[in-house]
Amino acid sequence: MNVPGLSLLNRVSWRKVGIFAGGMLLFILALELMKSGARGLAPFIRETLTVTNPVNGLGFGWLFAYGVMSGSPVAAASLTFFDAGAVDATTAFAMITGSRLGASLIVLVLGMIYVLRGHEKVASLTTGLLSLIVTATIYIPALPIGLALLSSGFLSRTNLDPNNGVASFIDVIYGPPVALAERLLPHWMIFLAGLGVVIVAFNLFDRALPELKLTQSAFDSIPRLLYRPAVTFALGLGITMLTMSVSVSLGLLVPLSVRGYVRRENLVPYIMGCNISTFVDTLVAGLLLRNPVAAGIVLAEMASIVIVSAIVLLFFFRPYERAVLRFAAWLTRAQDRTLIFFGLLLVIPLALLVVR
Amino acid sequence: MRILIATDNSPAANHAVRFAALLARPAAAHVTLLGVGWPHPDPAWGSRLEALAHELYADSACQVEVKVRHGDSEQQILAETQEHPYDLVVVGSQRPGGLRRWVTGTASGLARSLGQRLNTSLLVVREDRQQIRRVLICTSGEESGERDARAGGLVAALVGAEVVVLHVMSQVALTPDARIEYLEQDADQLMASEAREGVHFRRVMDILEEVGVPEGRRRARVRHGLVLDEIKREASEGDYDLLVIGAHQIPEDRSWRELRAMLQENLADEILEEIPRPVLVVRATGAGAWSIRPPTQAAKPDSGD
Repeated sequence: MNVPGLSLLNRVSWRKVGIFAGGMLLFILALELMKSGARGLAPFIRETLTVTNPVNGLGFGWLFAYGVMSGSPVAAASLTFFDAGAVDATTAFAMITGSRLGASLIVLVLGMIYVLRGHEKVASLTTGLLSLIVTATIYIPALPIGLALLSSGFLSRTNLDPNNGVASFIDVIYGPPVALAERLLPHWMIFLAGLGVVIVAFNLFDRALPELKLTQSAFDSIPRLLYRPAVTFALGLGITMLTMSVSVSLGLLVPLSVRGYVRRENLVPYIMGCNISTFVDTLVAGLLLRNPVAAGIVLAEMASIVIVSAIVLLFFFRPYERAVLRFAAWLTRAQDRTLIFFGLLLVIPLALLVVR
Repeated sequence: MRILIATDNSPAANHAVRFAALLARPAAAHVTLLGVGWPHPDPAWGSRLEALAHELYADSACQVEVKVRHGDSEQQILAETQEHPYDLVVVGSQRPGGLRRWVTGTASGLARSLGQRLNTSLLVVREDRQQIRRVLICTSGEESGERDARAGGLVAALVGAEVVVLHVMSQVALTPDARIEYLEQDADQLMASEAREGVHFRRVMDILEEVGVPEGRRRARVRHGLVLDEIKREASEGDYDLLVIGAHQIPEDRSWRELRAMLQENLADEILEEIPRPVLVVRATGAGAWSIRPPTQAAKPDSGD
C-alpha cells in the first residue's frame, strides 16, 4: 500500500537532518563559549586593538573575516563582543558589515588561486569580483542608514528574545560545560574554542544542504534565460535563507548549468538578494544570545541593506549593473590593476582599524 | 506572403509604408494597406491610401488591397489579423515627445503592445530607411534562433542584403572549473569548436545558404557583455537597416503567459524601446509559414524605384 505521508518521510534524508541538528547544537555551544570568552577579552579589544568606534569595528570585522576565511563566524563573534560589553551597538554593527566584506574577498582569493594555477584570469575572477563589488557598493551606503536605525532605538524596542523555555533549555544543557570551561581555561582560549566550534557548526550546515543534480534535465534551459532583476533578486534572497552563505548560494547555481555558466544579467541581482538573507544565521545568533539589542543590530543591518537594494532595483538598476560590470572588467584587464586592488583590500581594513 | 501594413498617416507610419514596400515588391506579396486611427469615416482617407498604393505598387507583381477601419488602432489591427491570416504586420512607431516619452518610454505604445499581443511576426519602423543593405540577426543561440535566422535570411536574400548574425555572450563562469575557454572566444574560434554557440552558428550559416544568402554576404559575430547593451552597440556601429529578433512565443494558457511575462525579461520589448532602427520581431506561428520567395527563382535585389 502506498501511503503518501510515508513516501514523503522516506524521501527525507535523515542523515542530513541529523547533521543539521548536530550543527545547531554546536552553534549554540559556540555562542555560549564565545559569549563567556568575550567577557574577558573586552580590555584586549578596546585597549590593545583599540576598537573603539564603528570605523575601527568595520576594519576589525573585515580583517577578522580574512583570518577565519569566513564571514558568519565573525558576525556571530561580533554579537558576543557586544553582549559581553566589549563593543557598543554601532561598533558591533560595523563589525558585522566588515565581516561580510572580508568574506567576499575569500571567493575572490579562490579565483586568484585558480589564476595562479594557469586558468584564464578574467573568467576565473569575474564571479568573485562581482560578488565583492556588489557587496561593497550596497553595504557601504547601507552603513549610515543602519547606524541611524540603531540610534533611533526603533529596532531595539522590538521584542525578539526567545521564550523562557528556550532560555532555560540553553542554560540546562550548555551551562555545565561552559562553567567547566570557565574554571579550566583562560578567557581568550574559551573564545577561540567557541570560534572553532562555530566554524565546525557552519561546515555542518553546509553539509546538511540537499544535493542538486539537475544537469541534462528538463530544467536545462532555465539558466540560459534572462529573468527580470526582481525575480533573480528574490531567488537569491530565498535560497540564501536556507544556505545562509552567499558563496554556497552561488555554488548551488552550478549544477543548474551544464557548463557552469550564469548570465551576467541574472547574477548581479541574485548576489544582491543573497546579501540580505545571508544575515539569517547572525539573526539566529542574536536571538540565541537572549539579548534583544543584539537581534536589533542584525535587523538594522538587514533593513538598511533592504532599503539600499530596493532603491537600486527600483530606480537605477541598469546603470548600477553596467557600472559594476565595467569596473570588474577594468580591474581584470591589466595585471597591475588586479594586484593593486588586492593590495588595497588589505590596506583599507588596516587603515580603518587604526583610525581615531 | 501576406503583409498587413497599418498606417494612421503619421510620419512614422509613412516611413513604415515605404519601408514595407522594399520587402513586399520583390516578394510579390499580397499587401493589405490598412488605414487606422480615424475615429469617424472619412472618404478622403480611403482615396489617399489608394493613391499611395498605386504609387508604391503599380509597377510590381504585388496584389494590393486597401482597407480602412475606424476605432482604436490597436484593436482594429488585432481584429484584422484575427479575421484574415497574415505572415507579417508592419507598423510605424512614433517617438513620443516630452513628458509622454518620460512616462511611456521612447517606443510607441502601439508597437510595444502589438509586440506582446500579435500572434504573427511584426515589423516596426521608427525612421526613414530608403533601402535594406545590411541586416542584423540577433540570436539567442537556442533552437528558436534558427527560426529567426531563417526569417531574417529570407528577407536579406530577397533584397540582396548583407547579413550579420550576432550572438551576445553574457555568461560568466560560476566556478573556475567551468568551461571557461568558450567565454572569451570570437565567432570564428567558436565555429571551429564544439561549443554550443559554435554548433548553432554553423547551423545558422547553413540555413542562410539554404535561403539564398551567398557566402561573402553572411558572417557570424560574437560580442561579450550585457545582451541589450551589446545589441545596441552593434546596431549603431554597424549602421544596419534592419534588425531581426525573436519574440517570446505566446502560450495558449493565459495564466502561464502572465507568469512568464512576470518572470522573464522581454528583450524584444526593450529593443523596440531603445534601438531606433526598423526591427522585425519574428514569431513562430507566422514565420513558420513564411514563404517569401520572389515569383521568379532568382532573388534579384529590388531597386525600389
